[in-house]
Amino acid sequence: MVPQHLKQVIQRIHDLPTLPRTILKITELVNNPKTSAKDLAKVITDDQVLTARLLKLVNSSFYGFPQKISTVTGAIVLLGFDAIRNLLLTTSVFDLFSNKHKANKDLQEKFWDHSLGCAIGAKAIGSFLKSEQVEELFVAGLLHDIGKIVEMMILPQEFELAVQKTRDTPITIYQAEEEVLGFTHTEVGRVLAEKWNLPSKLTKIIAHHHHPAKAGRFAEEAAVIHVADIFCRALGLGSGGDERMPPLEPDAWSRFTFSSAVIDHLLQEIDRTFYDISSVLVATKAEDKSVSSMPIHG
Amino acid sequence: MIRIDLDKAKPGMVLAKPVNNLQNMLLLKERVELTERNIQMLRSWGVGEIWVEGGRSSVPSDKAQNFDALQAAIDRELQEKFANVADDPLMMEIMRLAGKQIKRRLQREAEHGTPAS
Repeated sequence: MVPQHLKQVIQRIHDLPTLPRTILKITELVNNPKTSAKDLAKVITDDQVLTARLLKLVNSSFYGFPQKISTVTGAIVLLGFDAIRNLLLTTSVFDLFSNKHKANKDLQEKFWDHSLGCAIGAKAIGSFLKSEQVEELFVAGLLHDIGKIVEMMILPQEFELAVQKTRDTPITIYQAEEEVLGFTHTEVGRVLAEKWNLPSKLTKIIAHHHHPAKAGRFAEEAAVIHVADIFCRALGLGSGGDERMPPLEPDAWSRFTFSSAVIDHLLQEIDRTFYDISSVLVATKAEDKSVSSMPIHG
Repeated sequence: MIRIDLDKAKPGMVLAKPVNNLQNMLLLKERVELTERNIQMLRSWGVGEIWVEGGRSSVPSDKAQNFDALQAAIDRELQEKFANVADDPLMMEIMRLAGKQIKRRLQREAEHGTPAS
């Protein structure tokens, strides 16, 4: 099997679905400091499914607000633009890539669990460090391995071969991809992030989460994702394709040097949050079917 | 509440959730007290597991033994997962703490029926 050149993969990436226009619009609005809650609410309420999903999620036990939130504007004011964007991006990305290639549906589900786990991990670490960009870290965690999903879709056999190699030999998926494909999910992820016009910070994190020092001025954020990836793998939240721990970069760890007590606390928080939100997301998906009868709340 | 195999059910236990058959027909409502007779009835419908009130103290001792086996399996899996980084004391510490959390989660699942809080 001849490893395909990255250029060919890049060409085929252009055939991939883009994010729904609504989500791209939302991302654009959120990036614009002049956007008001009303502007954002208008775009969301134009999409019935998104509206219903958002209201369901914000009223779930995951957020634990004491009073019911019945308007999109209310949700935006309470959670903030970034959190809203992240919620909607999460569910849209999940949708986009689900139900394709039923053959490795199991692997895809485990993959998404891993991505969600890493997102939660990144947010938990960021919160602990009192970062001002916890929501961005969440999105970075969610998308850090998006390159693998692309590989699963465009090069399913080759990717499967790489996964098999990690079972037969003591190498990581990253090393196996290099051997089988000639490139890794970090490069593919970078290409996709650029196609989706994601901010360069996100693109750099996706490209360098295995070697955070290479992310330049975003090395700290990349290091957070790097550690979150390790934590959620240790907890067994989903699968990154291989059942092995990637090495922990000393440079990345030296930025934080968490004590055992802190590691313990973070692992607990990540684990509990993961299971709390998983149950909500599953319930939300099941309820989307009854959305058409819901009135639109502005 | 906890989930138990039907063959561990005993008269006097109280159902925590309703029991349906495979066609989703209601057999017994929640809060019904189990008797020899209704246990037999559930058995005849092929019911495998039921939810009953009570915490770990009502778990029969052989279920507790299964828990120990489960813990050992977790440790083994973690060791395999961390095999290629076994020379890194920091990773070994992460492994130990992750094992601790996984066991806590399983305990919660056994007691509350869900790993969620």
